Amino acid sequence: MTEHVSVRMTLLDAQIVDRDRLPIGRVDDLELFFPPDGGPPQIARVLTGSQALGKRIGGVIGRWLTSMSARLRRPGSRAGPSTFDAGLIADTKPMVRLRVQADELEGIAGLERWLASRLVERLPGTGHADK
Amino acid sequence: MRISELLDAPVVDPAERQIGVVRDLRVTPRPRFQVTGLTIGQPGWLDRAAHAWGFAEGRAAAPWPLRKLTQRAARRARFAPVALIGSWGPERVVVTAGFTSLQPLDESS
Repeated sequence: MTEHVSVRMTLLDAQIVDRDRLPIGRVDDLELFFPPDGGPPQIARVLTGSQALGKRIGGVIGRWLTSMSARLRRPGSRAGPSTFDAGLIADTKPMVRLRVQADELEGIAGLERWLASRLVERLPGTGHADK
Repeated sequence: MRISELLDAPVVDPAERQIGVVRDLRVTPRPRFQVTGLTIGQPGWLDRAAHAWGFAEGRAAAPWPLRKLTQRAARRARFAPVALIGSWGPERVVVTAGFTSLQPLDESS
């Protein structure tokens, strides 16, 4: 029998870390690709961030979350939730680890990066101990 | 199509009778993540909990009161291999076999 894993248990809601194990979000949804030849569908893209989560939650709270996160997006940035190619996943256990650095992913963890550069890095004592 | 659109979608047999709802998808491990089939459960919050907490999958066994509570739902869970899926959609998923011919979930892994 083909070895297979549960999407719900292995991927959905799992923590995503980059190549250097820097947390960049959670797997909030997954996009399927249906090959034109009629073959089995594949997971094509990983969706992360509150915009993706809002649609998954649904209802009033979900719609509010989606609309708020859409408004907070940088002007000129791509519409829709943040996504990346599922082929970038290097490992799924114990968390989803990518084969690239967070900086190489455009539009991923934007708020965290903004807070890190504008706020956290300016706080006294946030540098390395040897500096 | 997103996974979230498929989860909880009704599953019908060729006679258009609802035989359950999509509770999970099974995929091959990385790098391809090809779908191998669907886990089918029954509508209702207890069934949903059995799948969400891992009791239906056999991944969770404790605490025992929850295991007992979700036991029936776990027994009724079925696996539909991708070859038996006639059509996919958020409105409904068509399986080309009846409920009784689908294998129980615990025998599929």
